[in-house]
Amino acid sequence: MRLARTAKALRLACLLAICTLAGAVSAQEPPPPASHAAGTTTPAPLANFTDVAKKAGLTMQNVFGGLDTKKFILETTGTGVAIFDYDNDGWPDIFLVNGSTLEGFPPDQAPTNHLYRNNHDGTFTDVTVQAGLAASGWGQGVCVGDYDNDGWEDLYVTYYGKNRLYHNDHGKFTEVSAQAGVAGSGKSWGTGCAFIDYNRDGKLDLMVANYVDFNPATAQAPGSGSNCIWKGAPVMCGPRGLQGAENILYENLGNGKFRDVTKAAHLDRTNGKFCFSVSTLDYDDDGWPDIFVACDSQPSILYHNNRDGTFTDQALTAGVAFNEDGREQAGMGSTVGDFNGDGRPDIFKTNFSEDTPTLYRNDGAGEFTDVTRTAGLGKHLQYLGWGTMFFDFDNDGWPDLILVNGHVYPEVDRFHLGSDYNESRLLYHNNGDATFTDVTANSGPGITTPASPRGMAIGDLWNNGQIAIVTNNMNQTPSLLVNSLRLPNYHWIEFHLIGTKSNRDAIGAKITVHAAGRTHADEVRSGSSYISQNDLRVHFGLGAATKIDDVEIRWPTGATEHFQNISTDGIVHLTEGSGQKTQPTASTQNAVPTPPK
Amino acid sequence: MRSTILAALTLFLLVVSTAPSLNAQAMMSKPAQDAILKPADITPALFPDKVFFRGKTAASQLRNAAGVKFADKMYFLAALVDNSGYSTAIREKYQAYIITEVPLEIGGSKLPAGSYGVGFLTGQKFVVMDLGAHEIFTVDTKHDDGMKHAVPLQIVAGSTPGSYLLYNGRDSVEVKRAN
Repeated sequence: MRLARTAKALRLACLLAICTLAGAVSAQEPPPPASHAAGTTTPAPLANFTDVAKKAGLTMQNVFGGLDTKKFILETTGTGVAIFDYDNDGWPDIFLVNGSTLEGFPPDQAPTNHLYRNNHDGTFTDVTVQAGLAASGWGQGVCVGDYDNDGWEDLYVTYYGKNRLYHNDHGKFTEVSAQAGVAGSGKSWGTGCAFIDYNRDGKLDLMVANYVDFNPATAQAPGSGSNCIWKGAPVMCGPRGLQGAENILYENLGNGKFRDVTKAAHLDRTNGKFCFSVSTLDYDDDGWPDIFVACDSQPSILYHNNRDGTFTDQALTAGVAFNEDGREQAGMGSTVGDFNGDGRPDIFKTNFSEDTPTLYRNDGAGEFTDVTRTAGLGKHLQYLGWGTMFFDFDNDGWPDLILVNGHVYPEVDRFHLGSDYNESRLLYHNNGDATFTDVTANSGPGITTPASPRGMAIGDLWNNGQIAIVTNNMNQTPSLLVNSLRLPNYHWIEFHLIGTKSNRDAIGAKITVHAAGRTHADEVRSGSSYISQNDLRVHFGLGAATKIDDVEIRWPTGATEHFQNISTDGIVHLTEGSGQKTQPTASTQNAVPTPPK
Repeated sequence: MRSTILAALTLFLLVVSTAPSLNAQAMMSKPAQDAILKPADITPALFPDKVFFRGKTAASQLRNAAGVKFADKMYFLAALVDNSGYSTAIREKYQAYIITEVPLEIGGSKLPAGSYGVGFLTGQKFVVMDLGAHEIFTVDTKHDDGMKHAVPLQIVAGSTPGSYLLYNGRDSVEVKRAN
């Protein structure tokens, strides 16, 4: 175990730099400290997010179809973000996926994806070309995982077209998807993805969601059919009426190659289609990773891991296929977190406008309940949600929620259809009693300024316990939302896990922190949000707790270890095999039975 | 007396010897029962994958379909439709399509065999429309808060024989075959 007191002075200096940057961009005074003055009814702000992207050097111009109208559905879904440490310097970097237009570009003028290196001072440098990541096309989603366990994070980018796997060799990437066998047919429309060690062999496998089989040559024009009209206005057609595409699972063979095990793993037995985000979770706490997939205008999918190389879609019986009223929703993004502190992973999903997002509480025994309304998350209907994450922005010990929104049809502005193309983000504060409070209006211009984001990722970009948000905005430059308000007396801890027998990223590991009578639990997770990748390090707010009693790690292989004497307010690097071993605590009580063969 | 005993014995043997075949016949002629159909039972051969209503054809959602196959092999079928191409006014009412080969009694109102557009409305109402979107009748629905996991469309057995509940989520209306 190594407790990274990573240059505390540098962190402090960096924090000051970020706060200065945030202040400069917003040209606003920091909000007053949290207080409840007598006679006032407006609660003191809990956060003050400002968008510092331009000052920080994140200037990529997102290109994704038309500006004022979208002729085809291909132009509407946008692109993802990855926050990951590509050069192993201990500071998270940012990767932004880019798209194209129907007209296309000359080869040397096409927009490319961009990688930005963290300069440790609140700014970033574009290192796309040096890193070997200057690729163009209809980019979509992104996920991160060290698939060859060499200690360097690799990158998978989905496309409308062939997907790309980038092998990372000391910060230089090589595109290896063809030889690895994960490029796909080139006819698919890849969306969300996640690395997952589904068979617990220590090698990261790869789950890829697909949206529709789309051919611009035969696609219908806006307004030309019943699926091309919305509220009476002609809009792009689909996804209804289009042919859905199959999700794919690749098994890592360990020699730099993967094989398609979609059929062998029974993923093809689910009539899943129009799928977007992929979130991995062990919802029945049996130590084997399961997969939640949010799908557009279709039931969500919950692939339960049968522990024998196969999966069974349990979404219907688990209660996460539909909303509380039994309606299919247009699922976009998803996030997993323990919002009520019972140690079980809950699921949150963003949906289309004229609908609410959905919060599924994990009740144990493989079942969930839609608690959206009772949790206070069902008040807004005008927002069309994309990226979303549980994250504890104020470090009070309870995971809060961020949602980024923007309508799919630019026509909503022209025809005044009840929503806006650029929409506000939503920030919900977790009250610690299974309810949330909408604190959007009081959390700074970074939250309230309308935009049209799609992908979103979160991470501790400056290793100071303050989680930042990066969004990839449709046909705009990205946003980097930094919270300049730090509540006093609240503490935090972050874990960077290193697998030895498990996959090196420890993706799928469950971390349980016991502190001040509370239990905090989460998993190391690839994918999630909307077709994006968050910082693989796991962050916990600890509230007023100044001491951690115990940390339990259940590694992806199933082995469990305990770690003590860990201080708060730092990033802890834990290596598999260095803790105190105990019997595995995978719950058989909650495990969903494996169906008979 | 002897002849009487002989006659009784013959009758007994006749009854005993024919009993099994009578039983078999009784079993074979046991009246067929209604069967509730699930989405997997309702293929495009049974329910059209596109249906006509108010000047347009829209896709039916066979993944959200249900039905009853009555004992005499006549069908009552229902499926949600993709109504996104319709105006808001029609979308509010036209959510599903029903096909019935027999007259029905829905929530106490009689409906002849045919094809109809139907919808579950706010305020606990169920509306039935002809293919021109003309309202035929509206009846009350019931809301089931106790249902564990609601689904978009399903049919379950009602409280009395021959009675069925057509559910949209947690709202239901009673459907019976009309006399």
